[in-house]
Amino acid sequence: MVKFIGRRVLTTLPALLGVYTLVFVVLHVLPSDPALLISQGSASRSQLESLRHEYGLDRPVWQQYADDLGALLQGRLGRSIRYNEPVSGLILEFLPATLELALVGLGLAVLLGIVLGTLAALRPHGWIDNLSTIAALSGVSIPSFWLGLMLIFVFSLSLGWLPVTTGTPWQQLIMPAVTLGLYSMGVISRLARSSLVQTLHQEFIVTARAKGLPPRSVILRHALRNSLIPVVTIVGVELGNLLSGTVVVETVFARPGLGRLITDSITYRDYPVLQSTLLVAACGYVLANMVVDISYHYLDPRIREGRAS
Amino acid sequence: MRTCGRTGRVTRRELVKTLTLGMGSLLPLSAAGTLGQAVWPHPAGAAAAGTPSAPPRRGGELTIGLYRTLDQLDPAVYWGPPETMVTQMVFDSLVYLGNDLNIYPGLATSWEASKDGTSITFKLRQGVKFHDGTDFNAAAVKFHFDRCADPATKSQYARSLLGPYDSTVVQDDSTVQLRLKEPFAPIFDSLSQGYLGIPSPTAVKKYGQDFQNHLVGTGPFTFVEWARDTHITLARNANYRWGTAFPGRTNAGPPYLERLTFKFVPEQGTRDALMNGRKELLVEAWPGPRSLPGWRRDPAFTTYEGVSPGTTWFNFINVQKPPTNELAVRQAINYAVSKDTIVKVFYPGIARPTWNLIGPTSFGYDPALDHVYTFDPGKAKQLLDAAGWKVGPNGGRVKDGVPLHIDVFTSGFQTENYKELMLTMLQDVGFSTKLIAGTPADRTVAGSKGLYHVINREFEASDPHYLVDLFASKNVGTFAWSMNKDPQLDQMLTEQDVTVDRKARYALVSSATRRILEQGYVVPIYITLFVWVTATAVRNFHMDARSWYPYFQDAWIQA
Repeated sequence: MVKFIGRRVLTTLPALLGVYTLVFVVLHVLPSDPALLISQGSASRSQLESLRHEYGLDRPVWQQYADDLGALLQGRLGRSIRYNEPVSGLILEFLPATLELALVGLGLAVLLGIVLGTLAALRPHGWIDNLSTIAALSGVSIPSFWLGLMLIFVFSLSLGWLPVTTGTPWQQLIMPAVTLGLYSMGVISRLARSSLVQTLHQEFIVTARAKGLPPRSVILRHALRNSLIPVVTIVGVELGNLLSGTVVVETVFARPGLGRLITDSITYRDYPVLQSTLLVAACGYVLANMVVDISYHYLDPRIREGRAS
Repeated sequence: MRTCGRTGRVTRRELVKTLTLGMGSLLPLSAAGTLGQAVWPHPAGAAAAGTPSAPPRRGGELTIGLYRTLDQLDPAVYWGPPETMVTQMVFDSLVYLGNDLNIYPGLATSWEASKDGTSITFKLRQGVKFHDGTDFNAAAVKFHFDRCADPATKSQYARSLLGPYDSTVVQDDSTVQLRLKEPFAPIFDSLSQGYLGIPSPTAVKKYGQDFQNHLVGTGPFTFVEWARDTHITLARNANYRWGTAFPGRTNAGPPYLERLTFKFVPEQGTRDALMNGRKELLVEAWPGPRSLPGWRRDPAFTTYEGVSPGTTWFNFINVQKPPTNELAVRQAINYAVSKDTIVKVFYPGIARPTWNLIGPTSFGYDPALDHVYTFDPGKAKQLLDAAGWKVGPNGGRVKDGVPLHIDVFTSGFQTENYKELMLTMLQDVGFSTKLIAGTPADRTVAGSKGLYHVINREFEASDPHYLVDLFASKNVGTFAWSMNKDPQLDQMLTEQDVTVDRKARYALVSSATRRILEQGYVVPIYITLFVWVTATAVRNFHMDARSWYPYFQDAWIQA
């Protein structure tokens, strides 16, 4: 297992370097000047030059790339230009809110997705199946910024059920989590349905039924468990999507978090923050996929025993 | 407001967009004195509420709903108006700016400037303690100024305020001399600002770059905590015995309030709810658009409305980019835009049209410059005709086959939503126009590079030194967005900076402003009010002369 994880880590390093390089290039192609933006008060030309020098913005671009990469490899994330705080501290400050949102959103998506998918699979083309098709289709096609605004409009402004920024943490979490999770819910429910339908046609299910096992046991213990592998795979991918989705949702709902930190930092051309937060997001994606791979070992004894992989 | 609060560094002036639906009273702007004077409008309904002679009562907490989170708080490093509301409570400055725009003693009890204006010797107040118990002294003053001037501090503003700073010399424990490389007329105004309030050197050394999370000063309030995303809390400094009273601040002793909590509430509706929900209590906030007229009427609330000093809301006109490189074209723009209509349509009850560059509460405001231009589309057409811009077949003007076209930038805030109307006014006299939208950051970049013909700006400051930042040719490429290189104007701007005599300086500022207006480097649009709303139970809510921010040590809460 250790060897497996080690190999996975090694294979993701080029991907992370690619992310870092891409972000660096995009940032430096944009017309911008963090020193100018930060000294909007007033600064003479010479003061601006000296600010640029202190921030290291007067170095040749290739040198900035190499220096920053070197610092990053040594675990030094630098200081935010906008906040004048260590980037690592900012990430630790903003990450929990984002993780909370992404995990609750994912939890909702998985729970609702599997329940809907299972119900639909039991009676293919029945009314539940049709309904869940519509739900999944809407979930996948409604853009989250629009859905978020509609939820605020209906549940906060019209019905007054949920406050937008006041209220308990849980009240504040519901609408953003639903907005975030609906897309994944659609994907998961469709996949759970088709996977379960396939499993239900397999011989061991026929055997189980013939043995006289109660339908509940057939479906939950045998069929569902066997059909979960593709679902788990997609959950890993969806966690990555959810993490990037928080950028939009946090902005719409004015929630603090990594997503908002990223969008604000783009406005300020806060290079150190952007480089590091985007890398952290990429790591999250990679980590989620790794966890999925590992979870196969527990879900499916066949993979566990064929450990040679 | 949502985007305003988050998508970038936004000055409070941009918040004014929240007020544009306000319909109530006319502007309480009185004609200012010749040198400009901070106006002190009577709060609506204040007379009716309670007895003015009631003695202040100690106790209670005040919650302030702020329109955005704060970015940084180290006075040597940060720039930002709302941040200053906090720093000027935690730090005392050497001197203060009164509402009469005169300078009053603070941590310095007296001072003497050398004949050539390059050195000022301050006598410091004795017995003053920092919140950490250490003594305030001359070394602390030197420590702060040196730190602001040190490039490694990466100061965004304090360093500019010190101008041609040379050094600070400690003469003895309570005497300190500030030395400048050349005279710098704005220096006293600079020294009165929160950025140059004196922090505890012990604490700065201890916390280093983390000092902004552990502010230690000598001010009337002590720093308690700062949660970046939600609030900042200050507490009463019971030992505060070294305060001074001056026009605009009445309480020289410790504050009456036990606690101040600044809550960061970007959404207007939520700020309004915060206010309304605790009507009987002590909350005060910036008003939302729909509620302002209501608050003006409601006796449970008091509104404080004023104009902070600085420029008016204006647009730079780019003198390097054809066709606005022609004087006639720039003047035509000034004649073609009806500011009255703009204010009537977009900002009724909350703004007033202006043709001047310097606002009426600023030092340097010259009423004679209020009418350099008038709304006169006929005159605009005449100027364009004379300059060879003839009306073409489709109504647009053309010279040598080139259409009279200008690009106008807008960052989409409500403070700029007059732009489309302005463009139709320009089209009426024969311009072809294009509106370009972007973020505030885009505006700064576009302005510094001179990408468009017309781009808006405003600057809130109590000293007209901002004219240097915004119009001196050495700042083309940074903040001088008209891109003008005008030796005559440069001369006036340089001279006013080194002229310490106020009368003489006023005359120079006035002629520089006249030059800017007559040369059409700008097109001014309007002046706006800033409004605070408090529960009427909050008494003695006094504002500073600089930014229309409250001096919280005067305020108290009626039982």
